[in-house]
Amino acid sequence: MLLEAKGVCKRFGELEVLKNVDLAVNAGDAAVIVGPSGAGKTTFLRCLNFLETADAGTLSFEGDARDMRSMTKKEIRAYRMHTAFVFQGFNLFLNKTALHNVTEGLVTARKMHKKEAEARGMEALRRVGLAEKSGHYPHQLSGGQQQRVAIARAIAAEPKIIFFDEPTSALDPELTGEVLGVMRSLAEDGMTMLIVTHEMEFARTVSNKLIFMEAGEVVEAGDTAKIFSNPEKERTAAFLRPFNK
Amino acid sequence: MSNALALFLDSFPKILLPGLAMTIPLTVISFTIALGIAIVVAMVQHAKLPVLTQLCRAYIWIFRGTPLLVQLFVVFYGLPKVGVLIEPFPAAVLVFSLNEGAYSAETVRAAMEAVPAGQFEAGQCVGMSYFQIMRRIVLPQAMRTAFPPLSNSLIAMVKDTSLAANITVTEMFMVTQRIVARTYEPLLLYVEVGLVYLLFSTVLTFVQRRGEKRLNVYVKKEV
Ligand SMILES: Nc1ncnc2c1ncn2[C@@H]1O[C@H](COP(=O)(O)OP(=O)(O)OP(=O)(O)O)[C@@H](O)[C@H]1O
Ligand SMILES: [Mg+2]
Repeated sequence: MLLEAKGVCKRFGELEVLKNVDLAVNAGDAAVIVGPSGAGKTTFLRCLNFLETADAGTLSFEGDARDMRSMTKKEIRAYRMHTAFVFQGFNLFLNKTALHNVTEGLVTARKMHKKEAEARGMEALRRVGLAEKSGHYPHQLSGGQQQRVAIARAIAAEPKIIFFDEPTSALDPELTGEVLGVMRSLAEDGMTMLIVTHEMEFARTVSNKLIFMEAGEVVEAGDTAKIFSNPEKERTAAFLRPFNK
Repeated sequence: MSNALALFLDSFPKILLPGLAMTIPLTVISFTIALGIAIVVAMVQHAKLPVLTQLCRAYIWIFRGTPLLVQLFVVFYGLPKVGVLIEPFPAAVLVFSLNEGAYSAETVRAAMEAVPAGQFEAGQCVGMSYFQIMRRIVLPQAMRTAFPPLSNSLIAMVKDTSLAANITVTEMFMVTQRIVARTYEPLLLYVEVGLVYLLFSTVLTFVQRRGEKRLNVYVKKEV
């Protein structure tokens, strides 16, 4: 088990957004979290990378179990060195070129030499098909290209897992394909990914593990093909029905 | 008329020289210190550090809420009463930096708040520390936003340095007053010193334009 979360709870004021959510991801998994809007998918992903502080829950990463509330800043930073996050809104550093978006974390957080970081950065940009855009600033790139740079930034650090929060939701329909294509090829290369998505066709064909969340709870989790063809819970079946032709 | 012209030309270097030797150094030194103060004070508030944030708010409250001239008088004429004697130039630098620091702190803080939260989160996710994110991502973007209003403040400060004449700093305005006392030509000479201030402001406005162009490389063109 690479990453295991147990009993994750989170509330915003009166609103209980996560109620005892569990999750297990093995190395090499392409796991997707699906569910209706407001289910708490984004919040869960943000808790897993400590962008939000969970109210309760344990997280074990490579077998090292921790209470999620008591992780120190230092421990969180150490954990983040092995994870990466791809945002719905890209969040590329606006004052950095594509290449420097990719190298920034390598140079500052990982103290890599600039030359080495840039070589690795170019390699990552090549991987997402954007080597020739290395000198462009985010505003000079299309949404799809920005998201691919964001993916390059994620993979350059050679993380053990990448979290994706609806990476194509902010894109025009004609641009989603190029981003999903990159993610598909990462999955084929065995990159461990946890992906929140509304792209059910992508989920069905790329992921090996599916988590269906609703109203802050995991309704059903397991093998993607099995859940698509033979869901145990009626709620899951109802949610998947439109996509199951 | 030729007399007037002769006086104008004769006094021009006499006014310009203290401008270059006093007004500009006073402005440059004070504004640099003010920027340092502004960034620290803005960061303290941005990070919501307890106690320090309240201290910064109090500092801004006092220095924005009282006249610059009063501040100059308190420091230069008032403080000696309690045994604190400061030479005119350093006293002026002290007051101008603290006064401008209070205003610029608000400018910088507003500019920092205008940087989208996602920029900070992206930095966190690649493992950067708070200070790394501030120094390399948030502050550069905030300073670009703050550049035009800060340039305004700088130009305002060039003119405000004339107040330093009141605490015996021999800057342009004081020198002009002395020439007027000798020649009885207030209209000609005060217009002349006004022109020198205008010259300085014009140069600064030009530099501001150039600076903005350079800083705008990563900003989307407004259409
Ligand atoms: N910072 C916040 N403060 C208050 N409420 C929040 C906050 N963030 C999210 N919520 C609420 O928590 C609930 C879950 O939100 P979340 O964004 O996790 O849902 P989601 O499953 O990602 O939805 P979507 O598919 O629309 O992205 C929603 O009701 C939302 O309004
Ligand atoms: Mg969401």
